[in-house]
Amino acid sequence: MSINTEATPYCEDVIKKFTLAAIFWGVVGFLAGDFIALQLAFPVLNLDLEWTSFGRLRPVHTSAVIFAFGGNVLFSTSLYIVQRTSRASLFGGSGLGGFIFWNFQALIVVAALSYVLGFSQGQEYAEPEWWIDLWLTVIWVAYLIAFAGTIMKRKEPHIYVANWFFFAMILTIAMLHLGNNLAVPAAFFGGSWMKSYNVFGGVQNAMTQWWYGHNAVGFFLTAGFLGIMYYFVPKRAERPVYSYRLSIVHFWALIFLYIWAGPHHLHYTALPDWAQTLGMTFSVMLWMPSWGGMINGLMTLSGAWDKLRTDPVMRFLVSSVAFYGMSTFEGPMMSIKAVNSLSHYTDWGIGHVHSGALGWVAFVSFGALYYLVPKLWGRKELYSLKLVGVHFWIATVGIVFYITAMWISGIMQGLMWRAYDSLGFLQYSFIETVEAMRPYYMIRALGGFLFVLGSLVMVYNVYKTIKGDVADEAMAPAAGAAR
Amino acid sequence: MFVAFVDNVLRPFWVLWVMMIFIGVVFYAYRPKNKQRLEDYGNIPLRDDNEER
Amino acid sequence: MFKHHAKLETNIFFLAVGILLTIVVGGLVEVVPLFSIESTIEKVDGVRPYSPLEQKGRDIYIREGCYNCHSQMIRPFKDEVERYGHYSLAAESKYDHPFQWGSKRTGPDLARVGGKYTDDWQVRHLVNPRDVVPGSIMPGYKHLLRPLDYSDVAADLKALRVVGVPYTDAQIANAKKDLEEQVFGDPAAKPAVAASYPKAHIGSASGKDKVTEMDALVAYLQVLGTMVDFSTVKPEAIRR
Repeated sequence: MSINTEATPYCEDVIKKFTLAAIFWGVVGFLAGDFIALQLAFPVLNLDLEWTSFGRLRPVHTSAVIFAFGGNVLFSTSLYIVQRTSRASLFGGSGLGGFIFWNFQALIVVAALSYVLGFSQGQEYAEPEWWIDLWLTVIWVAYLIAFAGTIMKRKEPHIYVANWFFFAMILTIAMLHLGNNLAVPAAFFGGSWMKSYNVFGGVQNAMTQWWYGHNAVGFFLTAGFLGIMYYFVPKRAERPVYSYRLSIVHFWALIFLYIWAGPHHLHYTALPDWAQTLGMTFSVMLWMPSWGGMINGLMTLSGAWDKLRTDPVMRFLVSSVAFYGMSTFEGPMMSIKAVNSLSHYTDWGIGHVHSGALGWVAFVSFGALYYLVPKLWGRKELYSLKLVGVHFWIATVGIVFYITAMWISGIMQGLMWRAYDSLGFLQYSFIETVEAMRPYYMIRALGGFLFVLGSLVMVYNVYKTIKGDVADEAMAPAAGAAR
Repeated sequence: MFVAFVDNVLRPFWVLWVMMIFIGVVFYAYRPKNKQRLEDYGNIPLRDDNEER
Repeated sequence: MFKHHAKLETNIFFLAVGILLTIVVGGLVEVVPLFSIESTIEKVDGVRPYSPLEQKGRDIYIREGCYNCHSQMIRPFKDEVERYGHYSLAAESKYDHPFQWGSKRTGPDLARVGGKYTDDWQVRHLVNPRDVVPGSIMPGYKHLLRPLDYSDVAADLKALRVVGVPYTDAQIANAKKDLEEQVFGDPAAKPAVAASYPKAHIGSASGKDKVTEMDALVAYLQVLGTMVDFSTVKPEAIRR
């Protein structure tokens, strides 16, 4: 094992930019989410304007949190980690990094504007029109070059496992993005530049869409963020990952199984049964590597559990892994056809997504961001760890409100749809089941509000940290001094 | 040809492909010979701070 | 084989190949057979390409993001069949680019909404849903009462033909005429658009003297789920 004794000049200005962008888009995306949550409770908030209706704003929310927030977190952390674990500076340096950064931010703004103005491909999480897709492809290839180039010039012989996860994410997202967005623009025939038709239709399009959609979850929101876990949890705990060998099994099993799971979004539809069965089987099997990964993350703390008490940043990281375990148990369960017959089309799905998105993706991101900010700006520690703790508890209560409300409303609505009265008629009209959701939509919006509030606490804390302030508080010694 | 390969080979025998990959990876990762080497890799992130050297 | 894992760990190119091989299998096995297996799409009569007006309406449906709250896929359960009608067939969406099966029912399924309500109800409901359904949480879409821009409708049909929707040359050449005729034609006079697109819903939903976006959207909604006549479908043709 050769250890480089010279200091490597890591390229960090671009990491700083991505970090700040991630925080900015996070707040924007959470706010958009809470606003559309309120629209469902109070429809007057649609404002009767074409640009502010739920149908146009929901893609703004999903794209903002998944691609703008999640994407910037992934750019920031992956390009940070790949330099460190390769002990090499970023391939292409600030030039290539800046190209990726500015193009990606501009793309986010253009995509969001296009949704609001009414341009959409009409496929969930793949709404941007064809030329925006092509633009993203260019950015993604630049990202691949920066990432793989850094690995190629590394001084560390072994490629650290976190980079495998990022690399699998980059390659798979490229494949999914190109496969699902194959479309023929109307502009080629003298029509609009903002309209295209997917080459796949009907049942085939349903399959490609959910092959894409589910693996956007599997590779973007899972594999990518597992890369974050495999670096920042050991780093913050100051001990190696519990089992590196388990991480190898975790990696291959996860990427092999995930890609098959898409059809569980299409249970009991016109998709052929054999495909549904395959999707269900692999989704259930996926539970194993997911929990293998969870155990690996949690047990990294073994012998250092006290850090959970003393270090709120660690608390974010570890809770995220626990939420990952919870939602990767719930997911396979919901992919069982009998359960899915009740849960599908209801808010239960929305709750499931958010226990993963808020509890896992956002929490592990917060943990990583709280670790990165003092590091990148050369501060000893954050402005206030106490405020990190405040953020943690506000956000956790928010998540609990959110997912409990969605469990109740989802299961209740599913049951109401299939309820029969004593005479053998359907007991509830559809609108009655909508009206019954109202209190839960309010609770959900409250949970979302708390989550937004927590993120604003983070903004303040990060701002003060970058400014160089230190809160006058008795800092927990283990967290502050040891690093 | 390609489609027939998918229909006749890949789809019916997917259990086999799963098991082969899984057993292969587990065998590789958990071979005693590899233990020390692999677990050492876990230390890579812990020695990447310039300021700590 | 196991010696080579060392290569994967130290060579980014081999790692890439390993990852690509691993992820490509699942997609191939699930997607490719959908194009080759005969029984994937049922053989039923009646499913036809959307008329130019319906297609414009469908584009508006997508533009407004209706799929965020409405599914178009009735599952084969007793309650769904009673509430919405016959369960959906793959054949019924074979000309849907993109598909709009949806994933959430914040509002009801629309796979067979065609013919369930009058044009007048649809227009009033779209302008302000709470006028006709007091507890509704759907947004109002009064902006749809503006004129429809259909100058490029032939280009849309041409693009759709490239992706496999069997529009004829005549249908593309007549696209604008068909579109206007579907709004202002006289149903009793059997206009040409009805011959070209059987069951097309003829009439001006919004009652304006220009074709409106509302007319297009309502024409689309009114044809949803009506193309297949299930009284003539043999059960074995659609058994799954």
